[in-house]
Amino acid sequence: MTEPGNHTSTDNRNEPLQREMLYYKKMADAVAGYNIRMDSQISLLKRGLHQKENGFTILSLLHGVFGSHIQVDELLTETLKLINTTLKMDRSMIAWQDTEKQGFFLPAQMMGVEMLEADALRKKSTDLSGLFNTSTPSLLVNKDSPVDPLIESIRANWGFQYFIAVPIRTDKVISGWMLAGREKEAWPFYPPLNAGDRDTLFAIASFMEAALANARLYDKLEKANQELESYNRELESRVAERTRDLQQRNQDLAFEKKRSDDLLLNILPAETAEELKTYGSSKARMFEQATVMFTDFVNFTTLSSMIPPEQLVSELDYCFRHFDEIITRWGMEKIKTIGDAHMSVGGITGNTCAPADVIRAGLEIRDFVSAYSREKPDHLKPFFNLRVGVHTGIVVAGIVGLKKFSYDIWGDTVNMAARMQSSSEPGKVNVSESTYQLTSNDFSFEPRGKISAKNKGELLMFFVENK
Amino acid sequence: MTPTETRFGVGFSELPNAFQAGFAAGRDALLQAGLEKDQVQLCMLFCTSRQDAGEFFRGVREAVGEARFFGGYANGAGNNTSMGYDGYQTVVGVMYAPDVQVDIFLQEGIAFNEFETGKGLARQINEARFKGNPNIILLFDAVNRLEGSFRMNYGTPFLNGMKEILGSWPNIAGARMLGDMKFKPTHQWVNGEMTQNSALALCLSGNIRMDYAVMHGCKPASAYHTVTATKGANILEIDHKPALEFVREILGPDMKDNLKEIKYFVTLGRNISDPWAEFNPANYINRMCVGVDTKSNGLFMAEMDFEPGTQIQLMRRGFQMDYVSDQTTELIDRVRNEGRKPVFAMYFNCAGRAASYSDNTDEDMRIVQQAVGDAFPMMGFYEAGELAKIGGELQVLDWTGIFCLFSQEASHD
Repeated sequence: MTEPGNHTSTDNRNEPLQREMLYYKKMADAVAGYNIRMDSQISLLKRGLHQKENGFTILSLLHGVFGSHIQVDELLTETLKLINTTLKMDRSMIAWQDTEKQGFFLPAQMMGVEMLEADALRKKSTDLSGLFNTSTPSLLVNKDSPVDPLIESIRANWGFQYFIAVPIRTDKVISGWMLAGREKEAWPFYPPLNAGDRDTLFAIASFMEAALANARLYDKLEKANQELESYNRELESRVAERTRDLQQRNQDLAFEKKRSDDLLLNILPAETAEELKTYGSSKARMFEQATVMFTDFVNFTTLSSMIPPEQLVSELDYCFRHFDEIITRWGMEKIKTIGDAHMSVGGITGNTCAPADVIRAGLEIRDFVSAYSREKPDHLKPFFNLRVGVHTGIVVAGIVGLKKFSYDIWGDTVNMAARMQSSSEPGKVNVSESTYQLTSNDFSFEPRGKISAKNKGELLMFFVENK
Repeated sequence: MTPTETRFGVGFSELPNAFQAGFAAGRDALLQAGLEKDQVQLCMLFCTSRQDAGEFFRGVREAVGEARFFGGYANGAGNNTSMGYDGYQTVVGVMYAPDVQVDIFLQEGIAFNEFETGKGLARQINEARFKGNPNIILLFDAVNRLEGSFRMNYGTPFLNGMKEILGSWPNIAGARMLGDMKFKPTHQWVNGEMTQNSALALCLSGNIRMDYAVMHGCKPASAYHTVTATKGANILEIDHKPALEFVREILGPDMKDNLKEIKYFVTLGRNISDPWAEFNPANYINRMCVGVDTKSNGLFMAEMDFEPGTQIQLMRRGFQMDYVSDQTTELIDRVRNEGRKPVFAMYFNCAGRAASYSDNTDEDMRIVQQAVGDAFPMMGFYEAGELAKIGGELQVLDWTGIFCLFSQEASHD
C-alpha cells in the first residue's frame, strides 16, 4: 500500500496537491482531537451522572426491598447485595456494637465474603471509637488516603482495601457501621471511591435506619398481634368450652323438660298441660259428648285379704299398666284409679275418640283380664274378673286447686258411668242407652231392659260384644 | 425418552449463592430445551467472578447431570430477556442434536507460552475427525497472574501459534475470557474438569453452521499515520515522534496531562483494505490503549500486532447502536433466506463498552436481545476481546461484539 502520509516528493507539479493533502490531513487530525476531547468531556459528565444514577437506582431498589422484606436479617443482606452489584463493590458488611467492649464493633451481615472467612470475621471485634470524633462520622479510603492506624486496623481485621464506612443509628445513637469497598482501583471501570459514593452510602444508611425502625415497630406489632391472637385463641377456647357446657346444660334442661312434660302429660291431657305451662292455670271446659268408662275387679276386697298387700299392689299395677296402654292406644284419657277401679274418658281431648272406641277399649281390657286370669292358680282365678261400664254424656273437665294438680271430670255422666259399671256383670261391658244410641251399628248389643240404679231409677242397659 | 430432533435451551440466574445459581440456570435451560437430566449432549456454562467457580459447576452438574461441559468466567451474561454484568450473573446453555458432532479440546498453560499453547490446541483440532468442516468457538484466558501482578494474555502470539499448525483458518470465532474488570484469576470448565490459564475450543460439525456478524463500534476520526517504533504491545513512536507526544498533539492541551483519559479514549485502527475506499468496519482492526508508558512516552495497546510500518488512524468510539440491530437482523434474515433454521445464538460482547463502564447510554446486548426476540435461544457474554476473522485472518478485536448464529438445514429437522 502506498504510504498516504508521504509528502516528501520534490515533484513541483504535485506540490499544490501535496499542500492540499497536508491541509486536509491536519484538519482531519484537528477534528479528531476535537471530537475525542468532546467525547472525553461528555464521558466525564456522564460518569458523574452515572454515579448519581446508581445512587438513585439503589435507593429505588432498596425502597422496593424495604417494602417487601420485613425480616431484619434478610433486609440487611439484600441491601448489601444491591450495594455490591449496583455500586460495583467487592465486599460489604454491617458491623454492630460489641456488647462486651465499648467502641468495638462485630461484623454480622456480609456480602462478597467466602463462607469460611465470614465465620472468622464474625469473631473479629474491631475498635471504631476513632470514627466517633467528628460531627459527621464516616470514613472514605482510596489510594490517596494517608496511612492511618484505624484504616490499617479495618484492613487487617475485615479485609477491606479501599472502602467507605458510614454509621447506622438507632434512636439517634450509632449502633452499627455499614462498610462497602473495592479490592482495587481500576480506571475507568472501578474509579477511586469519592465523596459522591459516600453520599450514596449515607443515603442508604438513612434508608436502613428508617427500615430498621419500621422493622422494630413491625416486630412490636407482630408480638402484640401474636399476643392478641393467643388471647383470641384462649378466648375462643373458653367460649367453645362454655358453649359445650351450655349445650350440655341445654341438653340436660331439654331432657329435664321432656321428663317434666312427659310427667305432666302423664297426668294431664296435652292441651291442658300446654295451657297450664303457658298461662299457669287452665280453665275447666265442658264437653258435650264424653264417653266415660269405669272398670272394677269383682270381689277385690276378698282378694286383698288372700294375698300380701305388696303382691296385691303389684297385680293392680300390672293390670292398670295394660289398661293405660290400651286406652291410650284408643285415644282415651285416663282420669284416675280408685282402689281397684279404673276411670277413663274418651272425647275430651284433641284426639278423636268416638264412643265406639271407648267400647273397643273396654272389650280389650275385659279380654286382657280374662286372659290374665287363666295364668293364675285356680283359687285366684275368680278374682281376675272384671265389670266394665260405659256411658256417654256431658262432662266438665279440667284441673282445680293450686297444688298436686289432678285432671278430673265432673258431671252426672260420671255417676251414670259408675252405675253402668256397678250394674254390669263379671266379664261384661255394660253400656247406657246414650252410648248404645251412638254405637248401635258397630257392635252386637244384648238389651238388658231397664235396670234399677242407685239414685237414678230404672235405666236401659246393654251388654255389648264385638260383632 | 431420547429426543429425535435438535433441542437447545438457555437458563439465566443472578442468585448470589453459586450452587443455587448454577442449579437454577441449569434447570431452566433443561426446561426450555425440553430435555431431561442426563440427556444433554453439550452444556455451555458461564458466570462472573463473584461466583465460586467450583460451587457453580457443582450446581450446574446437579441440574443437568452427565454432559460435556464447555465454558468459563465472563464479566457478565445474558439470555433472550435478561442481562447484566459485574454482579452474580450466570448463564447455562444445553444442547441435544443427534446429527451434530461435538468435540471439545483443551490446552493448558497459556500464561506460560501463548505461542506453544496455540500450537498445541491447533494440533488437537487438526488430528480430530469431524463431520465435514468444523465450526469453532475459541476461548482463552485473558488473565495472567503468574507473577502476581496482572498481565493480559495477548492473543496475537496464541493465534500465530494456531495459524502455524492450521495453515488456514476454519470457520471460527470466540473471545478472551475474564470474570471482572479487576482481572481476578479466571476459571474454565472443560468436559468434567475445572481449570485455569487455558485455551479451549468447541468444535461443532455435521448438520450445523455458524455465521457471525462483527459489530464494530469505532469509526476513523483522523488522517492516516504510521507506527514507526514498537516494543511488544508498546507503541513507542508514531510518525517518528514519541507516541504519547503524538496523541497529545492531536488531543490538545485539555487532555495532554490527563493520562487516564488518554488511556481510555485512545483507540487506534488499522485498515487492511484500500485506504481510500469508503469506510467499511469489516476491514478494520481496532486496538484499545490499555496503558501509558511515561518512561518511554509509549502507548500500551491491548494487542501486540501493530508493528513498525503499520498505517493507523485515531478511531472514535461510536455510541449510536443502530448498526447492532441492523446487522443482527440482516444475519438472521440471510441465514433464514438460505432455508436454514436457527438453533441458537451466542453474543460475545466487549466488557469495556458496557454502558456503565463506557459511560454509554445504550447496552448493545439489549439491542441484540430485541433483534432476536424469542425466535431462538441466545446466550450473551461480556469478555475482554472478541475473536473473529477480518480479511480471512482470525484477529483479537477490541470494542466490538460478535453475534454468532448457529443454524441447521431445515430439511434435517
